[in-house]
Amino acid sequence: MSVIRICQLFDWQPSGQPRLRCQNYFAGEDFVYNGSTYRFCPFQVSGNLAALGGDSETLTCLFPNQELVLQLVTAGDGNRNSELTLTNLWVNASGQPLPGAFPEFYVGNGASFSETTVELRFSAAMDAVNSQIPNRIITSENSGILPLDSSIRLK
Amino acid sequence: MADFPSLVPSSRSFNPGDYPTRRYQTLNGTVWKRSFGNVRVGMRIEMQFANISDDKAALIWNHYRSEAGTLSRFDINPAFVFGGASNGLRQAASVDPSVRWAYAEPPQVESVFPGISTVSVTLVGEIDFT
Repeated sequence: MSVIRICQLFDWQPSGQPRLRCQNYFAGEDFVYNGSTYRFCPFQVSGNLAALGGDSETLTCLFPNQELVLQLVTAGDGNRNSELTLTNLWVNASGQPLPGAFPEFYVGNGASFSETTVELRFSAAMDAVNSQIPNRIITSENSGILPLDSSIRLK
Repeated sequence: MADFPSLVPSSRSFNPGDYPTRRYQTLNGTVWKRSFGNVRVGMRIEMQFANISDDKAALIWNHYRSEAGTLSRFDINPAFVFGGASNGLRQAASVDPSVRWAYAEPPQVESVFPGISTVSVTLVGEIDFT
């Protein structure tokens, strides 16, 4: 039958923060898979999951600007150094998972906020990891007090 | 959040909504569909309360204000909102427990006679996941 039902399981470990497990198919329900419970959260995933050239494409996960997600991102170093296991689970009409799902692994690559959404960016951990992984940021810890109104040149 | 006022509409239109789906038609005409959720959403009830007293119209208006306009979600009592419908139709119109209702737009109040008004209300069903 030409109907696709995919439940995405989002298993996210922000740096130094509790793990968040959520799924985006079964509205208002907890979903148990391989002994782990995934709560409902209406996120969406987009991006290139695999590239022949091995370039690390960005995977984008869009969450509503929910208090829990906001807290985890803010306290979890802005989604840097986080770990994500994303599983695309095919389910049948009665909501039962079909065999063949496999997990994909990503590393947190930053986040951005809007008034309604939180965007989490990831790169594939097994891909060609470049100097952006993990992202470095300039903070007062590694560069001292920073000026607010002038540019910084790094060498 | 308070339930919608216990008033039976004089006319009603119900759209049962649909499952969140995206459709892709191949060049040979085969249609594939991807389902993004297991709950039907986007149901819509359009009600008209014709020639009711201003006190009853005020009940609706005050409820709209107490629910912060279109912002909050609330429950409805099918015995009133679907009043006059058979039990079978009322059952068929039932929604998933995760779905609650919100005003799609402000209620329209038309004064037709001193102390008498006609109120039009449109509600939409939304998943309340918080």
